[in-house]
Amino acid sequence: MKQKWLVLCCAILWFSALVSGWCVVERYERTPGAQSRAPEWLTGRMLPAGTLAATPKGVPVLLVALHPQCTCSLATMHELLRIVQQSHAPASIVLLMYTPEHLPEGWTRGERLRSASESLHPRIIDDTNGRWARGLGARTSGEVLLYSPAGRLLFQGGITSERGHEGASAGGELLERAMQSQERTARTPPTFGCALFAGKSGA
Amino acid sequence: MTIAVLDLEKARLPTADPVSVASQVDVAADVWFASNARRTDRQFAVLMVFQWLASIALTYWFTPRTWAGAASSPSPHLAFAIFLGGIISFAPILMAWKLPGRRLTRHVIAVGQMSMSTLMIHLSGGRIEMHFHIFGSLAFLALYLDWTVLITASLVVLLDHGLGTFLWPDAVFGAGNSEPWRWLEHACWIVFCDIFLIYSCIARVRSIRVIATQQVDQAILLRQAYTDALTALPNRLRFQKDLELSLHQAKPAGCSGFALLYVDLDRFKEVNDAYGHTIGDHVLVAVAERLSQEAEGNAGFARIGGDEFVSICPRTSSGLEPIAERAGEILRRLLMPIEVDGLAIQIGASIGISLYPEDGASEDELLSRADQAMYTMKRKGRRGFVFSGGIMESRAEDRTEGEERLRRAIQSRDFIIHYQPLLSRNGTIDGLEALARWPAPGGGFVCSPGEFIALAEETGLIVDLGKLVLDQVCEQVAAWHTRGIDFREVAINLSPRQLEQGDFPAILDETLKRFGVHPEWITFEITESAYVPDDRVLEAGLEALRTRGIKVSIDDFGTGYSSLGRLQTLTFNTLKIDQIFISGLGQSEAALGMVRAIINLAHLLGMSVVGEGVENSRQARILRELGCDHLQGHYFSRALPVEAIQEFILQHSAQAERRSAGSNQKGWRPAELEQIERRAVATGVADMIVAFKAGQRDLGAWPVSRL
Repeated sequence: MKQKWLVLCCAILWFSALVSGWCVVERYERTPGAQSRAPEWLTGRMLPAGTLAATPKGVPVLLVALHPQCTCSLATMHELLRIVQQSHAPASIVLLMYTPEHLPEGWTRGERLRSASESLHPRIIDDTNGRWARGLGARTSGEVLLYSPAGRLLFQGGITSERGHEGASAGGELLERAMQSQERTARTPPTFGCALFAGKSGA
Repeated sequence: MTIAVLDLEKARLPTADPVSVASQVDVAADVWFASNARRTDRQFAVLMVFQWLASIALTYWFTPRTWAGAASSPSPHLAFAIFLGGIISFAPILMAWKLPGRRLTRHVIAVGQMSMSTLMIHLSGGRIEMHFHIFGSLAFLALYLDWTVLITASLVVLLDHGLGTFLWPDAVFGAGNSEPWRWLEHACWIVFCDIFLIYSCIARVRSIRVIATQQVDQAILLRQAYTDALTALPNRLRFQKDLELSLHQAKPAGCSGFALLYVDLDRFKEVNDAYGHTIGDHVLVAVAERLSQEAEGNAGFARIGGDEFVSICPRTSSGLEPIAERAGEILRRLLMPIEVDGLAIQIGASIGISLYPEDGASEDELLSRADQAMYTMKRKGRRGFVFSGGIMESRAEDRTEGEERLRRAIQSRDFIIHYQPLLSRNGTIDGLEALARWPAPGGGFVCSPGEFIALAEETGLIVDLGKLVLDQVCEQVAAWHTRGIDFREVAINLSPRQLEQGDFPAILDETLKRFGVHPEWITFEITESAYVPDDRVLEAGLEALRTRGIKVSIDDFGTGYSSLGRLQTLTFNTLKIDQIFISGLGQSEAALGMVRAIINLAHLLGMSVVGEGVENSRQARILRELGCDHLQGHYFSRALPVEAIQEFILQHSAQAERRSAGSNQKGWRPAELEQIERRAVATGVADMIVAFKAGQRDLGAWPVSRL
């Protein structure tokens, strides 16, 4: 009888530890990164010279700020690929790949992200110290900005439902709608990913 | 699929009744399920260890570090994989190790496994492929064949998704598809999977029960083939296989061989005849239980015939002593009375022992030699054991020592005679039976009469012993006659061996003459079942006695093998019904019928009848009602030494006088006096009797409590 109670108490303790652990995981997974307000209009100065000029006319510009080491952003790229394919709306995709001025040891150029985005045929810009991303108000890896062909901001935010989580999300659906309708979305969905700038963590 | 096979040695299935079969099926199935649960617990424990390590590796592969610009730190996912994965896995692994097979253990494992699946989905970034882990886990959990485990597992998943849907609907199903029906669709797939798995579990459980039933049936058939249905001991077929195996194992050189003990119950046929086969069967079951108890630690017994049991006893370097000791122990156990339906039935056994390799090298030879030895023991007086012809040395030593002691005791006239009264139907003494006793120097007796008489019969000393008894009885009879003690007649047991002696009539004449004993004072009793090689010898001996005017009784009638035949050819004056029939009176219609028939038969043949072994008033009353002429037994008096029997005779003489007077000083009625005196004898209030005899006839002076 005593052993039975002991086992039951241990089981309850274990279950409590389990639930507590889950709460910590969920909290981490669902805590969005920092966000700033993006400029309402996209101008040539906000991107490296010639970037905008190189984009096809009459096509929206889709900017994605990425940290090459952020594995969570891989989900963003997969989602983006899915959305672009589903929406059938043309867009000129520009990836702002964060690059520190002094490369730390073990730094990679984000080959996984690059290969994941190959089928999108994006223009990849090495964003030294996140200069261009900062100017566009992007603070978290995976933040997506969609500007109309006229340069007006249509969408800003993340397209994954939580950190590194693939699958349907509110952000993804809003982006898809914005690409199809060319209309400004009312909401700014949260972005889940690594911080682009030290000291101000994305998550 | 393997089902635990029933242990035929331990399983007790004396009958294949449906209830027993059903319970055995349950047992077999439960054993299998418990074994399956323990095995699956172990598999899950191993799986969870590897799963935990895999989740750490997976996390390290996907998200080793988290970044903030150029600075990085270890990913919290790693900590989740290590610590939360550890917490999840710890309890199931611990319980699978410490409490395998328990219901709680598998439910904890189910919770842990599904939690691990959910964690791995999180750690992999919600990859859709990782969701197959959940279905894989459910399938794995189905190995328990316990549908409640699947329900627990599903509840964990549904709880996780349900809470997720409630708290973060966008995260789980996306913003546009977060309607309730989507959650329902999700749940339906889990339920569908569950239904499929639960159905599979139930189907498999059914098939296991079918197989278990077949195995139980097979076990019952095997058991019935190799087991005696009545006693649940191995039967002849099984014994033959065991014997064959023992022979095979004993063949190699250097093996010390084995002994075959052949036990045959003494007078079991009479038990069956007297009490019926139901009681006989109970006796056999009781005997089997005793033999099984004795066999603990030894080779077990098999029942190979009606009342025949055999056992294979390994031989050791200690010689034959251990075998002889075991045979002695078996005899001791079988001599103890067997209680059946309120009856105390005493039954002995004769044991024949054959030895491998001395007595033969085949099953048939060994069995035959043991059987012969057993019959030799029967002829020599029963209730003993004897080794087969070839190897008698060990036993012979014992016998020689015993024989020497017996011889010395006879020479030094160490034996005393006890007398047991025979009463008439009216309660008067009709005679005494003389019974030899071998007193030990320090009190008590050297051994029981059955033992020393059997030894005397075997060694031929019964002739000398019989002569000594005749001497002592005649001397005592003459003394009583001189003192005027009315003993009527004294019955002496006569061995057929004495009759075989050509000089017995001369010795008898000389003894009677020497003590001045009239032949009418003496009666000889010959046991009906005694071994007599030739009835003509017996007839001649009886004729010699009759011509001298000595009466002859046939003792233990009904326990031999040719009772009626002997009654036809031999002439006896009295027939003594064996106590085995008397003890059944009042309890068995069969015994009553047998006794009535024997009494009528004896009377028709002109013999008087003695009922032996009367133990209670009920038996005495029935015997009187049936017309039995004389009664003998412990109810009236046990065999008493000379002084005590004299007191008994005097007491009964006085009683007879009072009875004839019809009254007494205090006005006691004869029946009351008889009751008081019987109580006095039974309770050992000898002084009361002495005082009563000495003239203190007012029994009112004695405390009533003593009566």
